[in-house]
Amino acid sequence: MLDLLQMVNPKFVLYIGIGSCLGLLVGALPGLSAVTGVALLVSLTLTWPVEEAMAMIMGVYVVACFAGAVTAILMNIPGAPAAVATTFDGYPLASKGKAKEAIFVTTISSAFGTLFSLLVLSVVARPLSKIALLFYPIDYFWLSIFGLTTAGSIASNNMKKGLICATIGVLLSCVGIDPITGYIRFAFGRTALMKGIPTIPVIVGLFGLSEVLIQISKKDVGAVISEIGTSRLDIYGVLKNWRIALQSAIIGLLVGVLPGTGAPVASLLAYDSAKKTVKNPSAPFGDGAIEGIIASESANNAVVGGALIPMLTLGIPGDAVVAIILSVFYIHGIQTGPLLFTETPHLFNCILIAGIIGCFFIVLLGLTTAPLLAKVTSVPKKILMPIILVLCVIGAYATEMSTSDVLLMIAFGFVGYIMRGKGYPPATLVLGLVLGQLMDVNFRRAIMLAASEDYSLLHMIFTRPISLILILGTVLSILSNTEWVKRRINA
Amino acid sequence: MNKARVSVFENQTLLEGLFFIVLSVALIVLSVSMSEGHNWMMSPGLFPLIMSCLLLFLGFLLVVSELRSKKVVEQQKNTKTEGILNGATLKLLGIMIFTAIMYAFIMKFIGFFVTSFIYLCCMMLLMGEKRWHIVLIVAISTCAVIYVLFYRFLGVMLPTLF
Repeated sequence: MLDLLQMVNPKFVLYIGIGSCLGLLVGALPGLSAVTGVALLVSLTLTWPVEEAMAMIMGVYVVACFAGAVTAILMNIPGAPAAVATTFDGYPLASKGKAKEAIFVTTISSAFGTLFSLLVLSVVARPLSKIALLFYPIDYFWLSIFGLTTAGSIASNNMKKGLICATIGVLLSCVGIDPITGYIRFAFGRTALMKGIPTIPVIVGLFGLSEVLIQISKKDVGAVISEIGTSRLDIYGVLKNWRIALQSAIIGLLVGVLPGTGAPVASLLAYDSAKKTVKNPSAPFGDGAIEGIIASESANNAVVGGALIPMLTLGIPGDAVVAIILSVFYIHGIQTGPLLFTETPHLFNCILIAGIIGCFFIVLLGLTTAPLLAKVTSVPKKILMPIILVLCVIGAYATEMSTSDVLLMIAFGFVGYIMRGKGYPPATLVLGLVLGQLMDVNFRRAIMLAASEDYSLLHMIFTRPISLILILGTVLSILSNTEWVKRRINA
Repeated sequence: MNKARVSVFENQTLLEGLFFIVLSVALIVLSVSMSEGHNWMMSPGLFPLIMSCLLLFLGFLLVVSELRSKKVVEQQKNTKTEGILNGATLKLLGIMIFTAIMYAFIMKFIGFFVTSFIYLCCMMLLMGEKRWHIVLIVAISTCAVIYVLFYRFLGVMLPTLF
């Protein structure tokens, strides 16, 4: 305990604060992400003591996960795939003149989700890491399918359209070099397509540019959102939904433990769960329900602690950011896995404390800086939309410094405009793109594993409880959205 | 209310379903061609083939559900939400997309900041901002903030003139 208190000195907190501010910036801006921020810091902190480097990196990681929701709420442009589910209710709530309230709810939920997952990490890191080891490739495949069917049902009133978008997203993920055989798929001889369809330009186009086109097509050049809300923030309204926040944080933690799945799946599953369990939401889900924002943000921030569990206990990174954090350990000559707890336990505490202090910075920045950002929406469209378009170009260009990504962003911007007009949800297309490669690789690994053990694939599926549970969840998710079942429920 | 039934060729959702069917058939053909010479289990075309078949199935479902529905003209009009593609809007969107494409190409030659300044000025004027001083202030300050934040601080290597 004394060691922990000694660690928390002003310099340590200052580094977390600087990292948090950087995290707010990279998390909120589409095209940049926590990965960008953390990667920048790896080179900057090369010669620093590892504790100070981790302090700053954890500040970026924790706050960037929250910051993606800010632009999702204000402009319907998610700062990262994890914030896609936040757009379902965040932006409609902001459109009703309650942008400040939406950001307030996001802030509290994000801080709660992160804090919860880090506290759980401190207690049950090792037992929870064993869950990750139980998952076979076929289980990951069914988890992705479950995530996509859930997305298809949430993000659209028409489930067929949602699933079509998800399928197209998965097919887009097949463009480029096949990760198993190295064969080039669907590139049609074009070099730009050989590297695959990058996610960030697609997100920026489908959400950012399409939103610009929609706002422009409305011809009214006034502010996007005239009123940002001046009413008192309803703290009680947020606190009374503690059950949803807790439920979602648990989902986020468990999903985060599974390497490669990540915050987008967690936020979506939590949103779906909230939609099914909340009987009297503050507004209909998809039309500004606070409960939807709480679910999405608690879950995607709870992934922080979850993703750290396999990294710290097994040396397996849970997501891209954690993989970079792992590299920081290696650069400083530190072993992760079981040896971390025996040889350098103070580093485990360092990460924990830095993350917890980062939660306080989420609240500080969320309550002070983010409402200032909310005023952006009251700027007239004739000034704001061109600026957003320029930011979209930077967002698309920044990933790989490529003009072809900008052109891709523009193409998807137009496609997104058409999709939204026809009732096809862009969110499920993005999720299909994100999860597609995971599905493809795990599906074929499952086939190869079954063949190597002289089983059929069906035998493998039906003898694995995890796969059976996920298949059941998928079937229920699809059935619960059929007209027949909906009529029965309403009756 | 216009209760005339929407004809098959005017039913937009049905046409979308047909589009997905055609697309999925094309993808199936491409996926099968990828599988030639490979063991099917290791084939790079296996997963795209499965997904294409799923898309085909979903396309058929969409078509069948539209054929079975008794959609009337008024319902079709009322289902339009965002993204209207009428004449005036199409012209404005066309200009936006064309200028965005030119922006992407030109920035390689004259640099991001010069192109962005010109683009911002043109777009604000096109969208009806008549106050020149506002246009110039916004364009210059936006480029300045992007330069400091992205180019200097975050190290995003945006193309420059020099």
